[in-house]
Amino acid sequence: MATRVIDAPAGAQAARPSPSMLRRAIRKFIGHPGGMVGLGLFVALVLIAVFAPVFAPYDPLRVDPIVALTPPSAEHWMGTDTLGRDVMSRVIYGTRISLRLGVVSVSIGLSLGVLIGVLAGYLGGRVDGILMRFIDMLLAFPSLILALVAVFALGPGLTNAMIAVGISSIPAFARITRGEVLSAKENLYVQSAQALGGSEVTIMIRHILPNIIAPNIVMGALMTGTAILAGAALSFLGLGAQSPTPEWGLMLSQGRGFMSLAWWLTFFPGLGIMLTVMAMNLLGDGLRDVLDPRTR
Amino acid sequence: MWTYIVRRLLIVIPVMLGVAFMVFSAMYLIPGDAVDAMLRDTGASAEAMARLRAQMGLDQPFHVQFLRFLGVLASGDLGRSLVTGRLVSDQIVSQLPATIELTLAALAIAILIGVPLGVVAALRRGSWIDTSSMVVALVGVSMPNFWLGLLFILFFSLQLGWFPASGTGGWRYLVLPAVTLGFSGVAIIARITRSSLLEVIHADYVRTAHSKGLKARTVVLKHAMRNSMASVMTVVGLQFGALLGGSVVVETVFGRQGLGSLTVGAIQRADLPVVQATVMLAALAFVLVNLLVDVSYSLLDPRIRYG
Repeated sequence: MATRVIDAPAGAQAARPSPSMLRRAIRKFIGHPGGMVGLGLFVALVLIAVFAPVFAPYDPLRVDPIVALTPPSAEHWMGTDTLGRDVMSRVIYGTRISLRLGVVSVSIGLSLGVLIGVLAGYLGGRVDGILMRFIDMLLAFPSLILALVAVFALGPGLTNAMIAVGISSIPAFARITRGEVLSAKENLYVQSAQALGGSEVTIMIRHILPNIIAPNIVMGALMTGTAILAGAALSFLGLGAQSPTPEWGLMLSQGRGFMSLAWWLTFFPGLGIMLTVMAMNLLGDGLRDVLDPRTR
Repeated sequence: MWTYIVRRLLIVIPVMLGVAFMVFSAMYLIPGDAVDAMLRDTGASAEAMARLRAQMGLDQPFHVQFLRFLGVLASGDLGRSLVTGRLVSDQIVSQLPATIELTLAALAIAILIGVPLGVVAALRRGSWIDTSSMVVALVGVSMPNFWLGLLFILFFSLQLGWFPASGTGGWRYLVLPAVTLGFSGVAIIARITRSSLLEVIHADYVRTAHSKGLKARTVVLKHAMRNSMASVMTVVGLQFGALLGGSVVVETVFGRQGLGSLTVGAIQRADLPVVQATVMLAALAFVLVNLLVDVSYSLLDPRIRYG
């Protein structure tokens, strides 16, 4: 009986975007210069990451002391590092690590944050109180400090850095989700589904969840950039990726001792981080302009 | 007004208890404890370690240890560093001024450049000033501060020799770190100032102010700005947290003294008491600044006081 209510046309229309809405959103996104630049950059970075072995001229880990600290040249476009490793190959492979870090951390933050937000917003009352006090505790820490605490507890390393950054992004997703759930709960179709005796879980999944997808997509894109920055910072501090991983933050920290001799060691990995984060910010801003009803 | 402030201050207590609980749990989860860290390389026997553990109360159950941890904190005793043996409170007191100096300088840069940049961008919407300041803002939020710091060192210290590349001291040591730390704040504050000013600039009361014949300057500064300041203040409060986190990185980049480099060093050496203390201090500072921001809303907008 409960599931019949969900299939009623009124509920379906209100909860799920119709194809024409989607088409309109896509059209609007195509007309958004910043968003398109971000999308283009993002696609390019994904391609570089996927086809890293094709694009990289050398093995990123191959040590060749004879060519150590060669400035950018025809053979080594971005020069070589202190061990003679090709910086460009390392920067290219670094794309893989940073994108993976962004995706993994955001997936952790998103799934836990959405779970907490939905439970708090939908169930309300004491559950809401307890969960939100937990979020308040997380929010009491500046996010990088929270990531530092987590990485300290878990121990240094790339995987732990991903988890740490993921934990520090939980509050953002939880708060936005809770807010959306609270307003979605007021919708007539949700109240009618409740009145008709729909089970809590079904209502949550079929009527509430569709409402929180768009804001979480936007937040996810923006937080991916933030996560990549935070992950690189942890690696820069020696708490994330460990040598010889070609991770951008780690490469920067290894190159900083040789700055007066070899600027390319710090310049190119930093440029990689900036372009990736910029792609995510542009993409996120574009998606927000298209998906957020308040700016529509 | 005062009841509002007192009520808000009282909320700080449970939040800080929660913070203490989280920090303590995180430290509790670490494989190996303080005794391991202290005696790891001394070749102490298992019995000696067990004895010390019992002496320090580390063999007690979690809740007992946590309550004792709170008791010790309440008495103001932060313990001693496992590495240097110095009192943690002494270490913090000696490092604190450098971090306060850096954070405040960065915050000042972020506000003094970010707000005017956002105002100009909003008033000249669509002009080249608007476009270029928003490009600067995009670069600012996307650039890792450790990279920016290294580029500054490369250019202003190693090439031009204008500022020292590292160290702590007079204002010359402060310029590059403060600009590095404040740069993303400039970007974020400029963006939020622009968008919140754009929201009110076409409001009726702003039009009324214009039609009363007030100078454009007065309308913007006295009428429009006052209402858009609330969201700017929120961001300033959140930025303070970003600055605290950022100072960890920036102090490392510039080899500056401060709580940030103290924290990183302590994490690398697994110096538990120091990590606990610095992290809790950062959280306390962040919570208090956000409280200050909340109180400042009520000064900007009387409705909040009674809401």
